Amino acid sequence: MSLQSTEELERGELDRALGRLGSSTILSDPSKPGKRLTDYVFDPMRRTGVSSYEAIRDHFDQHWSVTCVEIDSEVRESLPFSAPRDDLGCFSVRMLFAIRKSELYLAIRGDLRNCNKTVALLHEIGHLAFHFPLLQSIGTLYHRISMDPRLEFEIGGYLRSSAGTEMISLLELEADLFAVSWLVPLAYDEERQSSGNQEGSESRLTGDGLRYLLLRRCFDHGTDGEIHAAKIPGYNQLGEDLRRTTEGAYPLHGSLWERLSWVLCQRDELLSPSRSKQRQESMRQCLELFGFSPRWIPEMAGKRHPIWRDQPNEDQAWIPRRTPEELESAVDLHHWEPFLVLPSGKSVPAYHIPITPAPNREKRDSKVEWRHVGKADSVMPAALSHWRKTAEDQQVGLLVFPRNPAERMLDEMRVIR
Amino acid sequence: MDYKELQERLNWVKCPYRLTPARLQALNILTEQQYLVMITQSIIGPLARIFGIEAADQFERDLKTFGLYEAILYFHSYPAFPEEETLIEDACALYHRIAAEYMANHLKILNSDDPNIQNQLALLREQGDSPHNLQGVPQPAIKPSTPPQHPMRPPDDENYERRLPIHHDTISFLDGMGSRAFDESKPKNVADEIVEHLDARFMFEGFPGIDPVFFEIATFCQRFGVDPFDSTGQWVIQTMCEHMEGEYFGDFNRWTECGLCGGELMPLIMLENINLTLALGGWICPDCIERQALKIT
Repeated sequence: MSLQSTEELERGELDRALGRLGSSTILSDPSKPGKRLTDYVFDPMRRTGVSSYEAIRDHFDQHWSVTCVEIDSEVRESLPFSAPRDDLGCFSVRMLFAIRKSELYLAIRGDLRNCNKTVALLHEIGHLAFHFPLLQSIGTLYHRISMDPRLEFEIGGYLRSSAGTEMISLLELEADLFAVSWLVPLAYDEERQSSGNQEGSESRLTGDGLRYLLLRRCFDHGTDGEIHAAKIPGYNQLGEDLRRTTEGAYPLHGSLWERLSWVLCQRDELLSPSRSKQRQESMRQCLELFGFSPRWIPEMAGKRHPIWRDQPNEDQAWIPRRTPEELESAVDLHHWEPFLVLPSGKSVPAYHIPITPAPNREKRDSKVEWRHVGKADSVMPAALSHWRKTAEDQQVGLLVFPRNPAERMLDEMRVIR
Repeated sequence: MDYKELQERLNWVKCPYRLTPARLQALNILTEQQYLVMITQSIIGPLARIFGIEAADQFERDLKTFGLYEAILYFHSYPAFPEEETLIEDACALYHRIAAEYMANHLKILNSDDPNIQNQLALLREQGDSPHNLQGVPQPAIKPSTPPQHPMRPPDDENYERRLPIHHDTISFLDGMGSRAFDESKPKNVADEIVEHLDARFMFEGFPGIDPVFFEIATFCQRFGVDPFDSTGQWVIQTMCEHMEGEYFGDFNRWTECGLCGGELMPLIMLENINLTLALGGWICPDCIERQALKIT
């Protein structure tokens, strides 16, 4: 009987724990992936955490049909709910079509060390676990805005409110909680608590020391293996310092280490029933705005009531704007979100025409043909200049969905999307 | 009014498209009328008054599933309408008005860039909308500039780049089967891509019916810059015939009406017949063809 390598064992564990889910299942039953993931990660009996980036990435790619793309440049979330910082990854629910199914993929910065890539990947999977229906609803927003441009200002009002900024923080916190709980199973909390009762021992890790060590192992595989006795007091001290620095608010703009250490130290409180109630209330308020059903499009019935209490105004726009003259050059830049091209003298047209490039190996979006997102697949795409003229003639906006770096890479790799 | 009478009355205005709420909403947006409200006021309300709420609910379900034409046609299965009631006449009149308005605006709706309209049509495609059961209308003839050529598949081009994205339902279908290996079925020339796309459209969005199907195929070829009567176009049509006969798109009604004498016929689905149909703008029965010595010149 041959011994299995660590990686083989980890792949086996992922197969057993997470199984297989096609993207059709994920999209048609958004609660299923979340439940499977959270059941695994928050199982209080689990003591091992799969830490191989390749094993995790391959499992989601091959068995869940969620492609992971490595990008050698800045990655940003392509949603209004993105923390204003350099992201290491994004989980994209690319809602290119209002009605039919859309695409899922993860984008990770390729220039990270493997440990950081693992953490970044798990953070994005955390969004899949906790926020997938919400992300779908938010993705549908762009299409609703193309149908009713006034909606943009109402959403802008929410994003600028305290409820909106709290939601941004909550989404990132929960994804970090998922990542750290994957790598540092809940079972260690009990061990840490019992260690915490041992005081003044230089040969024994305290609860703080254990927590510090476990967190270090997430970021630096060099700390695997036996702990040297001489290092124990150091770990204990560092653990105590760590706990003190995490007594403030969640560091939304902090580094990966700062955020995960805060979450690990606060984990007990974050998983408490009172916190869960708070979370449910914030999520409920948010979904009331964006729709509980991911495909809630009240504009289809031809009527929509204003959804945000404050009077919306054009100062609350949040989709980036470009002029018609900038269009061809703008589409070739790095974009993680769509932008708007408005007709001259009209800030709120009747509708926006949503367009996106037809998949093509050509890297520059300005050189490929573009299609109307809502029309049938069989309608021939056309050059960007055609769409610019069409929008000008009709005096309407263009909601431009350029390919983001991940999609350009997928097209280059001829991955079907 | 019995079934035949009602059908003849409705057929005063022919509209091959199911006037379901999504299509009517698209028409509402374009014309700024409220046809759905008119249907509620003229048909659903009176139905509820005469036969009760269940009848009104049934009509709404039929409207949603089959469209306005068939929802009204089902009146033949309702209990007898009171003599003084003009509901059937009012319903038919409203249908004529809406159907005529729709036909006058059909192309504008199809070609509109307004996402409010296009999302309604997208919803219909997702629901597998098909005019399969409705009376066809004459199609604009597609006359060949040269005699039809012998069908021949164009040569393979390993570097062929698709012009259209793969139909999204094809991706879902193959994904659901656990297969992401699309390379084997990658089109190697324009004819392959046209056939792949039409197959997907007819399989997943609904087979359009024996009347319009070849006009749709020919028009689609033209959009790709392929003459439906050259060797490539003829190969595409012949391949689609094989797929129809192979029941790729399920069973379908093979009966139609002769465009000249109105007689019923079940045409043979073969290239020669199809070419004549395209050139004449509709199916013609063999007797009329012989009588009028019709042929492609």
